[in-house]
Amino acid sequence: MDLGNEVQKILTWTSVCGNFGLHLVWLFLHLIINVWYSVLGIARKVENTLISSGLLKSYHAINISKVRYLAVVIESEEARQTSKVLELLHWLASIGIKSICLYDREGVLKKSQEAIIEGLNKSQESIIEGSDRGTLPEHVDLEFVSFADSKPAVAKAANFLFVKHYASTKPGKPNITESDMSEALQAAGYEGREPDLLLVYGPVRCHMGFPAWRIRYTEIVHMGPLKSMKFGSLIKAIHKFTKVHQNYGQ
Amino acid sequence: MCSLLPKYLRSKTTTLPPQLRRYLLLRVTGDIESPSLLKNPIMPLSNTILMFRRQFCKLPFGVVSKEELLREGLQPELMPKHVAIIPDGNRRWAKERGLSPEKGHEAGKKVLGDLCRYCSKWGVKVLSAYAFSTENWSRPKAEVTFLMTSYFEGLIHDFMRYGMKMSIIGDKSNLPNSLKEAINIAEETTKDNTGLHFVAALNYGGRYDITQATKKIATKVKDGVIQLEEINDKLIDQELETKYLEYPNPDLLIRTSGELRISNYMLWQLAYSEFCFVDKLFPELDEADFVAALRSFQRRQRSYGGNKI
Repeated sequence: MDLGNEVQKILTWTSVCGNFGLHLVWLFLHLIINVWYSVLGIARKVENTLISSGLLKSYHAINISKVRYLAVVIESEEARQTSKVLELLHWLASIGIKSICLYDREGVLKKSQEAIIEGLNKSQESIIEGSDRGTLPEHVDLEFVSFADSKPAVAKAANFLFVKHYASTKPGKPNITESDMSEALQAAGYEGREPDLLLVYGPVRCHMGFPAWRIRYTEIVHMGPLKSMKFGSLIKAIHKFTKVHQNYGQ
Repeated sequence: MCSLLPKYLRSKTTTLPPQLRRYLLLRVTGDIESPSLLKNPIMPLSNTILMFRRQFCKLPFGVVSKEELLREGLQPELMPKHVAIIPDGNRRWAKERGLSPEKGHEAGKKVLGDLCRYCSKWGVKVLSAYAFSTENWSRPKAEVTFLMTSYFEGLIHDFMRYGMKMSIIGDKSNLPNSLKEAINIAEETTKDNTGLHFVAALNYGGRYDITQATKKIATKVKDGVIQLEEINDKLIDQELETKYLEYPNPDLLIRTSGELRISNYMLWQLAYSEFCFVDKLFPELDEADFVAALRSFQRRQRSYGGNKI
């Protein structure tokens, strides 16, 4: 009987120790994970600050000529923050980006087109407030795009193509090529250049219906919500893009 | 051991304060958003932990139970229906190891087979892979010949054994006859299979797909089947090569090798797909990466053309 009690005691003690041990391991594991995430978060913030203040030399000489055409996709809800959009455009212009395409699905940016252009023109000669990033270049080309210029535009281009070439009574199947489609899009007023880099501002990591025909080899970078955009992150994304080599499937 | 830990945490008798227990459980099942994880969905640490867990609690193949999913921090109702993959980095992987590109492709084939199993296991309905693009013809002749004469035929024959439905999309007109025959046999043999639908994009390009859809519509207009004014984007949707799929538009796109572009793959269909760019080369991709991508996908907000879901 005593032996039974002893065994019972040992088992109870073992299970308590085991429980406590597992408890500690579990807490330690989560402590490590939390510390890891915190350290990464802090490191990212510090890096952004250093880039913004120009202390990181590696980000000084960006080969901006590689970014011939930049597209910015903004989630439609966030696109209503015109002041933020203007701030972003100021940053891009101060870096030396000459051609920018602005897209949001619902066409909020298109509707705010005048206000945005006016806001840019106002500060054309002045130095960006609160920073020493120099004056804006004299001219920034802006293109405003919405979902109407995306899938519906392809349908309109197809329609245009049929009317022009294939509605005739010529026998045989219509032979449409990719270059025919490109020409039809151009003729229908939806041509637009292919962006080299596409920056996505918003909660989701997708291009939200940006014109499909134009993004075959576009680099796509998710920048997070517009409200928490950082100049350092922008510089970093553009710097990373300038270092990319594309072989176009070869 | 690792199966005891979640049980211990879930147990009512645990001495941990309930708030802490709930927090730790949420942390391990991935319901608490981590800012750094959002920026970089596949963290080395989470991978290590996941691989450690795999080592000690082998999960069976076949579809996993709801409990198993929850234990991995996945919710069955939020599982992507269609996962698209751009398997990039086979040649680089081979080059780094001093091997021929062919060896890299062979290693990639094995990983693609594993991915099919993972998709079946985790409840994904469609897996589409970008096997060969319309631009890939400009690669070295020896490599293209290898891919077209033995590699893709071998891949098709091997994958037929997995018991899944197989489809090949892309311009088949200039593929070798033996490969066309293998494709026809595979599609015919597997057409009634249930479970995962595996789609390989061979000699495919997003622009090609839009163009061929337009061509089909043009033929229908010419034949008087449809009127010019009926042409809209929905009609183009119905003529794309993916129209036969139960879920034609990918919910999640995974691209390996750290490249941040879609390289002319499913341009039309990827309009609202979540992108997950993984830094590993394709032959290095493992189940831990795949589960981490699924978890990352489930954590993010989804938006289909403004309609939050």
